[in-house]
Amino acid sequence: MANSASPENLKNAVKESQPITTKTRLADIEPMPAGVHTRNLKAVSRKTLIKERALEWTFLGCAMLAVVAVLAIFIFTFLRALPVLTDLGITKFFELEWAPTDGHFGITALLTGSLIVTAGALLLGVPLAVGCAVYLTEIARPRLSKIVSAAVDLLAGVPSVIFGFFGIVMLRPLIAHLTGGLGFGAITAWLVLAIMIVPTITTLTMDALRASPLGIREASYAMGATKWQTIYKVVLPASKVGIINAVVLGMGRAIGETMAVLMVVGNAPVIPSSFAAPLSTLTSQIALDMGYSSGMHRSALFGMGVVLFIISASLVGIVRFLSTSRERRDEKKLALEKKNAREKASQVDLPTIQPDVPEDKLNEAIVQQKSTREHIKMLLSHARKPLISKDATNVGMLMVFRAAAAIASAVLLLIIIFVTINGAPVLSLDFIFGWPRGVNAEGGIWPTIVSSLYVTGLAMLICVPLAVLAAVYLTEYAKQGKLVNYLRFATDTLASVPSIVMGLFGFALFVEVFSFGLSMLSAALALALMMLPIVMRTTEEAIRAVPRYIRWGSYGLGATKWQTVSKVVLPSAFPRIATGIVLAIGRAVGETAVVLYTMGQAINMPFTPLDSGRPMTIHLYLLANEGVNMQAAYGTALLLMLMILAFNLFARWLSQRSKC
Amino acid sequence: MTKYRQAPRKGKKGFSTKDFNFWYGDFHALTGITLNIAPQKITSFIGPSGCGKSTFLRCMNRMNDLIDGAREEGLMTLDGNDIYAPGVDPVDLRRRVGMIFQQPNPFPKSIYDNVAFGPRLQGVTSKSDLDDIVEESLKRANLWKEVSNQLGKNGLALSGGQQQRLCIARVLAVQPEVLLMDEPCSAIDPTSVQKVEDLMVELAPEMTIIIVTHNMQQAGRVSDYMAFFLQEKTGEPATLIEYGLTKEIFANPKDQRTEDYITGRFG
Repeated sequence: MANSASPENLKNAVKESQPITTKTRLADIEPMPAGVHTRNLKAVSRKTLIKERALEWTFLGCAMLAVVAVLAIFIFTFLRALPVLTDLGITKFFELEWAPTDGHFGITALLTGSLIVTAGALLLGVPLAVGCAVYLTEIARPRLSKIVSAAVDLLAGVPSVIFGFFGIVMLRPLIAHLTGGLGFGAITAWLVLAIMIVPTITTLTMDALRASPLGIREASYAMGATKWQTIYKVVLPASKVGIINAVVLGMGRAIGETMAVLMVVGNAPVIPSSFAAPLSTLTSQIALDMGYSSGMHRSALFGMGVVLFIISASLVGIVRFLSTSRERRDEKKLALEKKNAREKASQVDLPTIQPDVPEDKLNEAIVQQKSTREHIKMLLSHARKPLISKDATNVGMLMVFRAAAAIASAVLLLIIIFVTINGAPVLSLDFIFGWPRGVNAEGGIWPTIVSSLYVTGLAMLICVPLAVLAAVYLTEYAKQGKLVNYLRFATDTLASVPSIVMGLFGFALFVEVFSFGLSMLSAALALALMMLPIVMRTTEEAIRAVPRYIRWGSYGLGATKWQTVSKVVLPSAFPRIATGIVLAIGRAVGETAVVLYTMGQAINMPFTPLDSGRPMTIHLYLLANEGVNMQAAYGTALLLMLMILAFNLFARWLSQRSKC
Repeated sequence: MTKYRQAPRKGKKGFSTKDFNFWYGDFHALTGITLNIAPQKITSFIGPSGCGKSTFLRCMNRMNDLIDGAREEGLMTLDGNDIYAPGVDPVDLRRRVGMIFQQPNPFPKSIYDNVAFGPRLQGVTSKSDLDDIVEESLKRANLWKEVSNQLGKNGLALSGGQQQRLCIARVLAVQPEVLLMDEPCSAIDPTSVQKVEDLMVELAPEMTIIIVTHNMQQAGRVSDYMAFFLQEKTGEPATLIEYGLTKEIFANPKDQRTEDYITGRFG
């Protein structure tokens, strides 16, 4: 054993010892002895092989569920809408007038309404959200940023029915006062939707900004750029695709939003004469008419569902195209650059020592370098001075970002304060645990709380095992390729299906075809489909966050794939998976449009899964719409918000704890 | 006639390869590697970055099976057994041929559970048996003294060097015949490097150790045999340039490229 360090020592050591002659030895140690065999190696046992295969196929089955669901949703909604094509005719379907009682089923006014509402909400919401995100990631002090982004995260979970409620009781009178009408119309919808999509777009934009490498900022500052110049010229362009994705996803959320819009647009299926006049959208009209429609009217509603489905699927397609085409371009470019660099490197000869450079040549070179420096200095001094000094621009623009963040947080804070102040006096044990009495639902809301928790629990029971196993397949088993691409497209599409379309589908399949009726089970199945992509995505991320070194460690000890997944990967990922599940529970509790026509609306204490009931969200919607018992509405809204807040805080606590 | 010396050995013990080739998808990573690894000795694989030494190491316990599109040709045998023959269980092979990675990778479990992981996979359930295995393995990895009173502590709470010795203890607990070490000291602090190197020297008489290292001094300090890998041109597969006694390669390398590398002229 050689213990001395340097090659010189080793050389000496070898010199002292006997020179090694290997000629004679080489003969009998020629590599690869004859008669290679596998006698001492264990063959793969059939049992293990079958077990591993069976597991893999099971996981694949779960993953395929997303594809099946997307196809089923499309096919079922489409089949129900078929009379629109066969009996009504496609041109009549795209006519202006929507008057079902007179036999007019044109959706153009509704489609226009959807576009007006979405466009205005984006115009208001996107600058606010992007400004807020830039402020939080680039400008704000870390502590402030941490607190505000946590608050934004929490607000992203506030159910849409609460935003609608806020719109109806707070914004509507305000707009009515300013414009002189009733206050139902596009302007109110813009404000409500803008407030709603700000948390979503802000969080996604912050992710995009954080994903750009830290080094590019430092490089920019090091060349004398101000903060604004760095943000505008370096950071924003670097995260362009991520921000566009955020905006498109926000757009999907706005166009598919049902409850918040339904409560404030005024529901007049016409092209509005002004932005203060009532109008209607595809989603709100479906929610409004579904309860009593029949015949062609119902088919037309399903037809609108198909239109919404196609719009949301196209938005997913756009996002995928944007991100994958960029990835591909980047990969190609990188590969080419790497190749060029390698070729160059391989052409470089090993450095040879240069003879000393004569002194006069050296001086000549120094003089030449100096003159180049002078030249560049002169060119720089010719640069045009901007009208406003770059420091002033910097200060000004930073103020703009600060203002965006301040407005966004102030509005969101306002909603919380508003609901809390009005709801707090109503909350009492009697309100929570009591039964509603009389036509105006005085008394308590206990059956609606039970209905909400019942349906959420049932939905999670169905969704979580499937979603986790599907995520295991996608992360641990699937080979990258076409199949995985289809699966991803399907899950992304499923995630983007507007909740009212999911409600339509649930009604068509679970309520009618499977004849589960309006019940906990029907609603839970529809909700489970809604939550499937969310839980899948968070589980996938959790599994991917487990370093591959840890997996290697397990394989290196002779663990099979399933042993590695079940004993090492899933336990390591568990805290983050649990966080995702708790967040999904929060969302499911706040979901309204999905359960509107799958669970029923009559107050009932559910016992078996086939019982119907009225969840808190629908209770709040009906109370707010009827306007006869606002006390109970405020109380329900506050309780709903507190429950969701509790789930979100619990999720945060889980993820914080796992970090320690 | 091979252009490099082969390690002497008795019978068919240990690893041998003949004309071994390896591909990642379309990329031909290794070509024509023929060598015998000396059993119960330490062999080091050296060479510049990207020369395929880690790839070759990962072929020896079929870790590369986990990568899509990985493919090999030629023969690789362990004690005369073709480890790539159809039907051979890579899982069982990996138990016999343990591996230590560049990044210490304890599972996010207790120290005890980390070491007991392998034996439990083999079906050891008795608490007292597991206790013995854990204590014995930690002792062999020279970690017992430092952790004996905190076996319930999370493995990730240890220092980098301790984590690496925990990983060694974890591998020792499944009694491997061969220990592959992929740059085991590159991510730990210098004082721990000494401990890991001492450990290797202590373990060598009972098991074959193969270490990939970038550190020439380390290769000189610990290894009995040395193999030099090189990828001469970008896009072309890497191959084995020279193989022999460490002392001899340091003293008078047969190949000019080997000499250039060990005297620090490139790489």
